[in-house]
Formats: sequence, C-alpha cells, structure tokens
Amino acid sequence: MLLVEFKNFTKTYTKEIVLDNISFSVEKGKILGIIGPNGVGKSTTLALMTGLTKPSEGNIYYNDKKSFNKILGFVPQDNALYESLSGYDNLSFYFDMLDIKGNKKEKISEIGEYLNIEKDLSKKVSQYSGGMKRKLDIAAALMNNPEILIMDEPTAGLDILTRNSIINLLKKINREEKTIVFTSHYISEMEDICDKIIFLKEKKIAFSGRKEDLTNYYKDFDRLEDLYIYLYNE
Amino acid sequence: MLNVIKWRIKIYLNNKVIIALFLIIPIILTLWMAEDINKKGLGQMIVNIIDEDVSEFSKDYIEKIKRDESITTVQIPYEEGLQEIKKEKISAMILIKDGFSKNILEGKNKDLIELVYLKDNYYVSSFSDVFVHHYFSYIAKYRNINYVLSNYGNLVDEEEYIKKYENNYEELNNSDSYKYEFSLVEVDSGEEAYQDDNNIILYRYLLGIIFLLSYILILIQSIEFQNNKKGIVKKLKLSGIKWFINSTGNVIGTVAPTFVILSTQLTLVNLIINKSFSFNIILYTLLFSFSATLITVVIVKIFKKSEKLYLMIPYYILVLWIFGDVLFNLEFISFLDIERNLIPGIGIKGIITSFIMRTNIDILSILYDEIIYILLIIIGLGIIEYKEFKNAAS
Amino acid sequence: MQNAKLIVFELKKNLFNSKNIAVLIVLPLLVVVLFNFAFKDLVDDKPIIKIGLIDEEDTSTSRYLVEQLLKDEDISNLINIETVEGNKEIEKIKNKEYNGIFKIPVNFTSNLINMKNTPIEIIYNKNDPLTSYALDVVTDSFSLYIEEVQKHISSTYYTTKELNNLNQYTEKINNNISLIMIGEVFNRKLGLLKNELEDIPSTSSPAYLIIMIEILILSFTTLFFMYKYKEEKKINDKLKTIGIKSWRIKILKTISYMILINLQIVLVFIPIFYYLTKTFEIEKIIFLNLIVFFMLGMWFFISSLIKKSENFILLGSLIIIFSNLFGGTLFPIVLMTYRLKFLSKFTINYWFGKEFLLLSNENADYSILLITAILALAFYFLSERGDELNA
Repeated sequence: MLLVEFKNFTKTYTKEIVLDNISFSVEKGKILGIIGPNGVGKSTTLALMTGLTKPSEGNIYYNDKKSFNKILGFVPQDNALYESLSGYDNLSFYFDMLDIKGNKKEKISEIGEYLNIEKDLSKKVSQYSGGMKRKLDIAAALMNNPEILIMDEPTAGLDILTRNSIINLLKKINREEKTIVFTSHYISEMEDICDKIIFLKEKKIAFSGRKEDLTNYYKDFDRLEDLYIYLYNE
Repeated sequence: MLNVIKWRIKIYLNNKVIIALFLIIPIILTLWMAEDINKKGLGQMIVNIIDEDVSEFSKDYIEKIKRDESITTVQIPYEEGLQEIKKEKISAMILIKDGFSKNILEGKNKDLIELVYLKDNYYVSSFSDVFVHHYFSYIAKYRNINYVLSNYGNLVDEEEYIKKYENNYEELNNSDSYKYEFSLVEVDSGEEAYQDDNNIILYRYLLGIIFLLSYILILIQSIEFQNNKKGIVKKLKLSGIKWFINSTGNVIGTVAPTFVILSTQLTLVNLIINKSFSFNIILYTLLFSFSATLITVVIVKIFKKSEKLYLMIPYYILVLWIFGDVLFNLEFISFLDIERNLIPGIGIKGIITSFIMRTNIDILSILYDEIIYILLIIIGLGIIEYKEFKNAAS
Repeated sequence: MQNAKLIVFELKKNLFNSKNIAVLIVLPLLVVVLFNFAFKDLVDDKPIIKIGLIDEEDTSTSRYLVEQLLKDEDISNLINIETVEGNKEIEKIKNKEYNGIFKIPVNFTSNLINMKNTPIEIIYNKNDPLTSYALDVVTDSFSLYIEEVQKHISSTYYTTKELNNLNQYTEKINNNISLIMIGEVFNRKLGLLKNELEDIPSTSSPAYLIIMIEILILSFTTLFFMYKYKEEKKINDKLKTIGIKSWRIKILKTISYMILINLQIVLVFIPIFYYLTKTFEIEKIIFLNLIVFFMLGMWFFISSLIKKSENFILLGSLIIIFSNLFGGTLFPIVLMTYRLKFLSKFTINYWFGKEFLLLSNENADYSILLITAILALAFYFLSERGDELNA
C-alpha cells in the first residue's frame, strides 16, 4: 500500500533548479533510503516530504492528506533538542506539542526503555554523547507513535559502534510495521536495511528500485558501493 | 612575518561592505555636521516674521533680522506659521506687536515682540538674545535720551539734543572700534586664549562617533578572523611558524588597515573643521589603532563564541560611550579621583580636547600615560596566544 | 491547550535560566542606572557649573552690576554664580571648587564711557567642555549688549559735554545712565513675550531620557530573544512537521517574549520612571508593548532574510547602534541642530520617543501609532514569505 507518492515535482530556489521532475513512491512498512553526493537535494526531498517546503511544480500525494502530519515523525540532521534542558524535559516538551493523550511520565518511560536511554533522561542534553543525542531525537519523533519516520542522515558524525546501534534500532522500529525514509552517505547501511534505494544525481533520480534490481541491472559489480561510484562517475 | 601580515590584511579587506560602511559613514557625517560645528551651535533658524506695527522702527528691525546670518526669514500668515512650527519646519515666529515703535520712543521695554516656538526648541529658547539685541539699540537710545530730556529738558532744546546724540552715535558706530571681547584665562596653560568658534558638544559627538565606529570595526574584524581560525592554528603550527611571529603579524595586519581608515577620517575632520593639518594626528592614530586592536583581540580570545560577542556589541558601545570619556566628564565618579582615561591605552580624551581646542597633540605624553596598560595587554595577549598555539594539537 | 502549553514552556525555560535573567533584568537595570547618572548633568534643571564672581572695582555701579548678574535668569539657568573673595583664583579652579571665575576689573564701569575695553576676565579650566560651552553662550550673548551700551553711554557723555548747559551735570548723568543701562541689559528681555507651544513636551525632561533608555533596552532584549529563536530553528522546524504552522509558532513566541519583557518593564522601567517623574499611566505601558511588538516583527522579518545566525546578530547590533547614536539616546535630541534632527528622523527611536512625549501630554499622534501597528503586522507577514523562500 502506498503511503506517499511524489509525481513529477520540481523544486527551484531563486530560479535555480534543485530537484528536476522527480517521481517516486513510499510503501507502507518499508524502508526507503535516499543517497547521493553533497548538495544533490537529499535534505530538500525530505523537507518536501515533511511539508517544511512546497514543490515549485508537481504534486505530492499522501494516502491521507489531512492527517499526514499526525502520522509523521521527523528527525533532522542537526538535533532538534534544547541543550540546556534534560532529556526528560525535552521529551516532555514534544509530548505536549504533539498533544498526546495519556500519562506523560509513563509514555516517556516507555520510549526511554524502548530506546535504552531511560537512565540518562535526567541528565542535561549538553552532557550527552553524539549517539545519545541522536537516540533522544528519535525518541522525540516516536512519541506520537508515527506511521512513518523520516530521518536526515541519522548516522552522520557517529562512530561505527554507535552507527551500528542506530541501524539496529531502525530495524527494530521497522519490525513494528513503521515506514522509514532516511538519507545517508553510507551505502553499506542502505545495503543492510533498505527495501528500496533512490540514487539522486544532478537533480534527478539516477536509479530507483529495490536492491536486488540494482545488482541485477549492473552485473559487473560485487558491491553496491562500486556500483554507486560507477554511477556517479558515469 | 610579512606573509602573515599580508594575509591578515587580505582577510580584513575581504569584507568589503563593512569596510565601505565604516569608512564612508564618518566622512559623510563630518561633511554633514561641519557647518553646524563651525557655527557656535545655532544651526540655522528659520523664522517667520509678522509685522503688526508697520512703522519705520519695525521695518528697520526686520531688515536687521534679515541681515543676520544665523537667521533665515520667511513671511507667511500667522496660522500657517503656527502649523509650520508644530511640524518643525520652521523654528519660530516673531510677531512685532502693534505699539512697538510707540513704546520704543517712550523708552519702554514692554510688549515689543512676541516669540512663538515649540517649548522643546532648545536653541530658540536659549538663543532668544539673537532677536532681542537687534532692537535693543533703539531702547537704549531712547532710554538715554528720555532720561536726559525728562530731567534736564528745561536746559536744552530737544531737537538739538537728539541731533547731537545721533551724530555722536553715528561717529562711534562708524569709527574703527573693536568688538568687545572677554579676556579668557585658561587655567592649564596660564596663557590668554581666544574663544574658539566651535560648537564643542557637537564636535565631541562627531569625534566620539568616529572613535566608536573604529572600535566596532576592529571588533568585527577580530571576531571574523577568530572564527576563521578554527583548525588553521593546527596547520600553522605544523608549518613551523613561531607563535609570536604569527601573533605579531596578525596584530600588525589588523592595525594597518584600521590606521589607514581612521587617520583618513581624522585628517579630514581636521582639514574641514579646524582647517589645518597635523602630522601628530597620524602618529596618534597609529598609537590608537595599536592599543585598541590589542584590547579587542584579548576580549575576542577570552569570549570566543562569535554570536555572543556580536550580541555584546551594543553593551560594548555603551561602556565605551560612557567610560571612554567621549562625551561625558563623568563627574559622578569623580570621587574615584581618576585623572587618566578610564579605558586604558587609548588616550581618547587627550585627542578630543586637542581637536576642540586646536592645540597640538602631545604624543609622548599620551604614550607615557598609557604605556603600562599597553605593556600589560601585550603580555596578556602573548600568554593567550602561546597557550592557543601550544594546545592546538590537543 | 497546546498553545498555552507552549507559552508556559517558553516562560519556564527562560525564567529558570540565569543567563536569560541577566539579560532580561540585571543588565537593563545596570544600563538604566548608569545612563541616569551619566546624562543627569545634561538634562538636570539645576546647573552644575559653578562660577565665582570677584568685584575688583567695588563701586555702587559695579555692585549693582554684580547684583543683576546674580539675579539674571538666563545666566542662572546655565551656571551657578556666587560672589567670592579675590585671591588664589587659579587654585580654586584647580581644586575644582569652582569651574570658573569672573573678575570685574577696576575702572570697568568708568571705561564704559570712554569706549575703553577693560574686559571682564574669565578664568576657567580649558579641558572642561561643558564649562567652556556654557561660558561661550553667556559671553556671546553679553558681548552684543556691552558694545551697544558703551556706544550709548558714550554718546550721552559726549553730547552732554558738548552742550554748555548740561556740562556741569555730566558726571551725575553718567553715573545714573550707567545704572540705567546695566538695568536695561539685564532686563533686556522684558519686551520679549515668550509664547511656548506645549504641543510637544520637552525632550530635556527626565521622562524623555528614561523612555529613550527603555527603547534602547527593549531593542537589545528583543534582539536577544530573536537570537534564541534562530538558535531553535531545528526545533521549530520539527514543530512545523507535526502540524504547528510557522505563523502560529511566531505568534506564540511573540506572546511569550512579550510576557517576559513586561516583567522587565514592571521590575525595571516602572519603578525608575515613577521615581523620576512621580507619575504613572497605563497608556505608556500599552505603548511600550506596541513598541515591543513592532521590534519583534522587525527582527522576525530581518531574520527571515538572513540565514546565518551570526550575520543576523551583527546586522541587528548595527541597526541598534545607529538608531541610538542618531535617534536621541546616546546624544540628546535637545542639543541637536536642525541638520542632525533631520538624520534622527530616520530612526525608530526618534519617532517612538516623540510619540511617548505626545502621550504624556495627552496629545497622542494616532498616525504614528497606526503606522507602527501596520508596519509590525507587515513585518510578521513578510517574515512568513521570507521563511518560505529560504526554506
């Protein structure tokens, strides 16, 4: 079942085309990865998905347009956290803003446990490591139990062990039928968990499809990484 | 060292918009304010005159007002004049009252003219003498004449007395007489000096703005430079450059453009307002640029985060404006008995006084006053720079 | 409910942060106190320049002159003048006992007749610009009159000398004429009727000074809050993704900031304003809130055009500096000439200060209020467009 469908949309910033005639769809319960070199429009694509910006041309079809915001959880590239407050207070803030019904303390505790950060919630965010902050940001995005989790480079700037734990977390979240869309520079992560990958190149989609389709198409490559390098040097 | 200086200057001049703003605004301001500073503070008063008396005296009075260089006259109806005053398009309105000439002839200084102006117009209120002295002569004349005639009138012929009086007055008026001057004795020098013709307060204001803007310029440049330095220090260390060469080169590279900008501005001020040129101003500017740069670089290195520093700019300005001895004499803290400038190493007070009083700048005296502060700042900066270099790898 | 929660959250976050309290309350308090002291001299009713007066001539005429000098209002508005014994004048000035000394020399009044310039000596501290300025004003005014007085006294003298019948009375006439002329000089403005229009109250009043300082403080504080808003961009973006529109976030932030700034107004502005003026009107608080609304709108607009936080702060600081340098805060409007006032009319400080005075006089200029409100709303609207373009 399609959750979101992008049809022929273009985004321009002051006469410069940033994304040119892009079309793709997001299926429910799947993980979609978007990859491309710096400045190709990955973050812009996510901004369009979340409604932070509007397309200059084309349409974005949501399964249920009116409540799209309610089924969405967003984790930006730079952490959206108040550094001077504790982890608990940050989650409390988003609990209130999302207008969630129920017991706040219980909900926060539940999420904290789920992400294995409960014991650190009393500390100030400024004292957290990079990985902890990212997990807290994900926790905030999960507060309203969204159907789709949109993340901008969730593993950027983290060490390999932390990246691994974040990827495992995404797998865990996906097992509960949540759709995940994320951008990344690490093709190996995409290889690991994505059901579908979109390669953005020069403002267009160079390739979009399942991992298996990719390797079938280009049989000369052992690793997806080699294919990626080939596609970008072509 | 030369390379360090060269690159520092290049980075400084990279921000063309800021440089242009800080260079041009003081110059435009100087040109805009020059006339007002050279006149003793009256500025130009625009005055509407309404003659209700219509006599020889009133016409003569109007002529005198028209010839007064500090007054521009207009002649519009009363109601219109009132509106123009309220809109602050004219400064004041003079109504020469009916009975003006009659009262003068009787030697009565009463109900002669009405001066209409906005209560807030400090200049009209304080300088109302400019309107009075033009008719004062008539009053004085007839007071004198009437006194003599009323007390000794039986001894003289009225017409003869008046005629002789007027002739004597004409002669005195036309004779090569001097302008009355007060003798001014300045306590500091013990020598007699003539009054200068500047509006002192406006002059201080202009010079204050020029110095203030140069402080801000140095601050902005230092912040931008400090920002760009992240990671560069490591590379510099690897290249083998010594910390004090790097530090000295950066200071000189900041001082040089500041010096050029400020000395241009101050020389122009001196030329346009004092109509003179002094090499000592150039020397002083070098000293000021150097010490202001040192203090600023130390502040920037202590506070580091650029956004915080930018947010601090307005407070920084307030501190400089109040404590920098720009406009105020700070009598309220005179109990501290501070003779020197409160902002160390700068000597602003001395230079402003020199400009206003048109005396020569005593560079050595300023240097002597500030040398200890400057040395302390150099030591402080040296310590900070050394630590920064040493810790670059960690 | 969500709106209220956001406002409460914003208030709590700011009030329990010591840095914010410093910016909101402590620094403004320091600024107000500092400014009050520094500017008091320039706007105080009592003159602070003290001049000593020595009469070396000591005749009935010179004593009369001294009496008139001490009584003259124009002089006493600028300087505090009192008689003093004539010796060690220079020391008295160096000790700061007096800012200056006037010395009426021997034969001053008799030389008035003979057109001999025996000038009044003025000894003063040359490095004291306020004294210099005040003395300039006084001596400028009087020199015009002394010249005329000399000519007329001398004309009387020569005329009486020329006429045989009056010759014997010359001395008596001159003594009396001298007294009359001195009196005329000091009463010279009797014939001048001053009609002060009070449409705009004086910009040299303490009330005006305090409002200009308050406008300065409000510009700092609103800029600071805008800096905080910009820092929280990621959080605000996240709120937008959960359906809270940008304009709603702005309005809620505006309300929170205004509540905090009103706290500042109540704790800092009102007590000091009341202390200085012994008055307090609710219209002034409403007007201050309008100013805050305008400033926040202006900053929202500017920040929507400038992406980088640093550049925005720099521009904001520069706007504040120029506005206060030329708008009448750092240099009193009352001392500005026509040409400088022309410049000051380009600053918001000038207009807000003026409107405040008009309000004090129950003479509000509604066009200024209306334009402020319209511009503020326009800024908010334009900031939304700016944000969209920059998104």
